[in-house]
Amino acid sequence: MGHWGFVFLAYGIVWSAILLYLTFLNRRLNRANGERALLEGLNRSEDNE
Amino acid sequence: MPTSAKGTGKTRKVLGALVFIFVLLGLYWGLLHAPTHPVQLDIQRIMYLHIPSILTAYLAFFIVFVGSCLYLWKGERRDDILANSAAEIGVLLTAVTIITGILWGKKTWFSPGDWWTWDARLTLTALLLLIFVGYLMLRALIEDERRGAVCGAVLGIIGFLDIPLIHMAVHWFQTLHQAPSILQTEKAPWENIPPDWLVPLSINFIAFILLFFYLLSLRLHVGEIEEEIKKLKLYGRA
Amino acid sequence: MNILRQTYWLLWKDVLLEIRRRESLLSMFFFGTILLFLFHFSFEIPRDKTAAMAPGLLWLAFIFTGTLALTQLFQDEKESQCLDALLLCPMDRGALYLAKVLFNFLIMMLVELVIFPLFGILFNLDLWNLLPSLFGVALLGTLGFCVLGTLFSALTLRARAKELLLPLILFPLMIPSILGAIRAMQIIFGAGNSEELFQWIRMLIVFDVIFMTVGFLIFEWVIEE
Repeated sequence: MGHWGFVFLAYGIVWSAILLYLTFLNRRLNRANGERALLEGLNRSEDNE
Repeated sequence: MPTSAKGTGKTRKVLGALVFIFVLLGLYWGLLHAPTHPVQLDIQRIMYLHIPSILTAYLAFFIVFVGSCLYLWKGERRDDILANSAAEIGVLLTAVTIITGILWGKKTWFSPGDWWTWDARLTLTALLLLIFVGYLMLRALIEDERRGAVCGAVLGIIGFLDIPLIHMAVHWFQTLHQAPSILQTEKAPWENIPPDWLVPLSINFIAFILLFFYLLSLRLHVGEIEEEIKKLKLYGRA
Repeated sequence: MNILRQTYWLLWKDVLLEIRRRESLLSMFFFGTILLFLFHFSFEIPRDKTAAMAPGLLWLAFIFTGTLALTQLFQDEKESQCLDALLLCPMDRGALYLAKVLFNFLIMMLVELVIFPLFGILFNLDLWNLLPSLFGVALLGTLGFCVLGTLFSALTLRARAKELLLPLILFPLMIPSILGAIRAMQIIFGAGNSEELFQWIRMLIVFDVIFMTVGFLIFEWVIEE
């Protein structure tokens, strides 16, 4: 592989690693948001009873 | 992007936009606009990733140290989440630095055919990665939350204090017993850099710092929500 | 002075238990011996290379046997709920730390006292004249190992897979001390000058002092319920 090949490999690995982490964080955030909404909903319905 | 993020969510969005702009600018400047290095040729463009990422990783580990100290001192969950989040991002950036370093070195100062050399800097960075991977594993393997936070804080402090000693030991070990490599000269590598390279380097550095704070704020937000969920589970239904 | 008396009694408790059961010491000693045999089979060290390789091999044996001891260090207290009782006592937590460091140091030094000559005999290495200075370096290196190891042994006490986790977090942080001890011993064996020797000895002492102090101060948080 030539120089440019290594440069693109490096940039590719770095930015895909960072983007992967970003999507992982966003998924974790969405899941947490969903669970919180569910729990809050549960509490509200229990309060109403 | 999260829809329920309030207040700080807006700041984070602005920050995200800034990150996006600076990353694109850095990519353009580093890959296209910056002139080709006279000696190392185009492989030197890896520097625009390599140096910003390691400096940002050091910042991350410093924040782990600060968060750990604050947690032991005041015992606030927030500081522990800060330390844990910064460690996660620091590990990511260190791993990325080692990969770019290997790719860069392979084309410049490694012996032909080598994928690794026991150069002081490379070794030190790899050890840094091992220490903070250990930190993350410790956090993952202790179930009790308070206990995990305290143990993480202790490891965060010890790890940070140990870095200068490891640095010295590894440097003495290498400089006394092996032929010095290009990177072991007294001068820091960026002192030889003319403005043509300094501008893209600074832009990429700003991009990485902004990116770090963006990721950190997102990770902190996740930590906060997970904290609320724990509280809801514990007290909410009572 | 109170803290020294507390340390003494806590140390005496562990020593007494060890004298009665002898399990840590014996298992460590046999493990060390087995390691020496494994080294022979894996390297088949040539006679002229023995002195150069001895420090590294010896330290591998020391840190592996030492890790064995560290994983057991708080085990008794944990299983018999003695730890809770100890923590209820009106004593300085630092004393508990010092006592455990000293106990681990003591048994590791006893094991090393046997491993050193055994290595000399098994590998036909003439180290008898160098033994005092080698032992001096081993003293500093082992203290460094115990100082951090005791702290992390307490740290991982309630973690899952703690026997695996302990070396994982301990070994990278031990690099300055292990490197210093190995290099210093290599110089004693004749590779390098005395100036460099003092550099490494200084490193060992600085490591011991820094982490002994930090460990002593921070142990309060580590061991609390």
